[in-house]
Amino acid sequence: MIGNINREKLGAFLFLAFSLAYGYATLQIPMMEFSEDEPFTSRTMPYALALLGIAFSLLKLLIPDANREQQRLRLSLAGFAWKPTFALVVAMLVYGLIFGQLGFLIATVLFLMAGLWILGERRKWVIFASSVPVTAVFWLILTQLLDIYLSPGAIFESVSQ
Amino acid sequence: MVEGILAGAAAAFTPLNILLVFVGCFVGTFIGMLPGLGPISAIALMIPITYGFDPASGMILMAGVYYGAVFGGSTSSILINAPGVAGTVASSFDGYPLSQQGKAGKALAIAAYSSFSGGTIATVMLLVAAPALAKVSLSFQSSDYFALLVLGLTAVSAFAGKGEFLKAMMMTVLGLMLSTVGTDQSAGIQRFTFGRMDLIDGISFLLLAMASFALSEALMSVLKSGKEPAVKESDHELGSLRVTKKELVEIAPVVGRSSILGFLVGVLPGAGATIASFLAYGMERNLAPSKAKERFGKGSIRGLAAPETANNAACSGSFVPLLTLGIPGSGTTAVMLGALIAYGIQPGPRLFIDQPVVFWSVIISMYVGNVFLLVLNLPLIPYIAKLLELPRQILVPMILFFSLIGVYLVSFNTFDLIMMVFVAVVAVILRLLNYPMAPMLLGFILGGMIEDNLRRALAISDGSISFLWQRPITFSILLLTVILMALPLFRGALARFKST
Repeated sequence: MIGNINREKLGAFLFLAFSLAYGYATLQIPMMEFSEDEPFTSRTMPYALALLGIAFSLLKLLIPDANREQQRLRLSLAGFAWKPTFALVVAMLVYGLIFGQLGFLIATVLFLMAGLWILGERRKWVIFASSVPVTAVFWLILTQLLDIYLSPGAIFESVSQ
Repeated sequence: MVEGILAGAAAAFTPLNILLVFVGCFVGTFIGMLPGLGPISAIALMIPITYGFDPASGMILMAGVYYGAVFGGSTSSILINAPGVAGTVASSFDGYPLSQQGKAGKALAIAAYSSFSGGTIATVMLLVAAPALAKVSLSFQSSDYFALLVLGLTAVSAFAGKGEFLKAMMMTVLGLMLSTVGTDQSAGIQRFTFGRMDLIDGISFLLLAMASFALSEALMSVLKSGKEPAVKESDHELGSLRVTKKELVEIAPVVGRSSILGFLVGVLPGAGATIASFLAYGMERNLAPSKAKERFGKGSIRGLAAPETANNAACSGSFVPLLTLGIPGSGTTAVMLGALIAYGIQPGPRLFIDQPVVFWSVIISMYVGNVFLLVLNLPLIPYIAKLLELPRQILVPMILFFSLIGVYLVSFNTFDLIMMVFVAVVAVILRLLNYPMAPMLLGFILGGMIEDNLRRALAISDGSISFLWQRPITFSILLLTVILMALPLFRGALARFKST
């Protein structure tokens, strides 16, 4: 069912929904009492943008598309490597979450190792050589050469205290 | 002006800045060669590094990366028929057939000579056009700027591909919407922050550029790996890099014409290198004598020289609106504008007067970049081409890491890492739905300027919108905008009418 949706129209529909939500959120922007009669307030530009967004997406939804068959979502999304892409997204999210806790060195080594593994690298020495030295050299450049402070991570900080 | 040029030259020719141009060209060439990664990603990846330099050096590095990335795109177009950037697609039409005939070295040399010549002619034109336009634009008022910014955003969409106008406009509006997140500086009111401290300063342009280009392009390359066969290596040796005198004579007029065309197209907001290269290719095919015309698409050196010259000339041309009006003409110059603003420099007519060293050193270093590309990159091409053999499973995690850490090193906020992943996922979905990213980035960067100028224009005219038609400059620019908007809609309606 979803596969038969035209991807162009799906994009327009999503944008319409976003514009409506944006328009609604515009109404929540607080206004100062004395500014309500001013010609330009904090809401003016967002209002105009919400209206433009709604207008463009409605136009896109209403105007018929050429190559209707080719634009079917199922056809245009078939054959993609979803699993490794999804796994990489999860790896990046985990990297973002553990970065503050484990610090740059450990989090980065783990992230690079995971990335290499996800993309099909199975040789242990390649995984090691592409993650540990790269991270160490980068850390040295940042901390020793450029004098940038990189936190060792909340866990290590609490242990050392 | 002469003092400005001399000061700019003195800044551009310091050992550090020459080194930066060289590094920029080299890194840009490498990134530009990687299929899917273009100049925007290359420059975005460089931005965190440039924060350590003064503005002139930072811009010099980015200009080198820009040129290098465009040249790198040509290299992968010629060697493996996989253009790294849209601006070099036309180069593959004749460059790849030349490579298949065992003349890859010659094709790369012609590409380098043409790029160099196009860059040289365009830099001379930039030298003349930029100060002249900067002086004229000193008389511009807020309403004129507002109209110009609207024209710039509309032009990006109007020059988008067939049937892409509405999608490009939607992406522009999305960029403008994202630019309203954060504190409204004029009123001190928070908008769309949903109570999060991390959003009070708005969304960082670097985060948006990295996530929507570098990260999402890397993710797209993994996604597509299931659909497309691995990029194959060139089956042939590079061959000789030598170009004969006869061949040089044949491409000389092509280079001259394409330089002028490329520069003028580059100056137009929104047009840029891609359109310039296709226009130049089409123009030369039409102008060629019938015998030479037959060779187009089969390894014509004219067909390679024209787009190569034009895309480089357009790169220089796109700096004219950036440096003189503060309006970026392309996604790439939009990223540069963001970087300049982060340095505390507002490009525009005052840049020419207030920061002549930055203004002139960027222009001069662009030329130095051209020389480096020719003198150093060309002999290094066989070695740089080897980097193309670096396996994807190593390259992609590195790109993801450098993108993420690049943003972190500016904000030192891990929330930005999570936000980047979220933006990258949305960008991948939009790419899958065939929505262009560059208009979104342009809208995001210009959003604040549009709002400020509109607010000022309304304040000056006591809240009346009469400024839209009372000032001749404003009115003319807006009229041009309406025509630009009407053209694609009219074309689309005409095509539908014909098909029914």
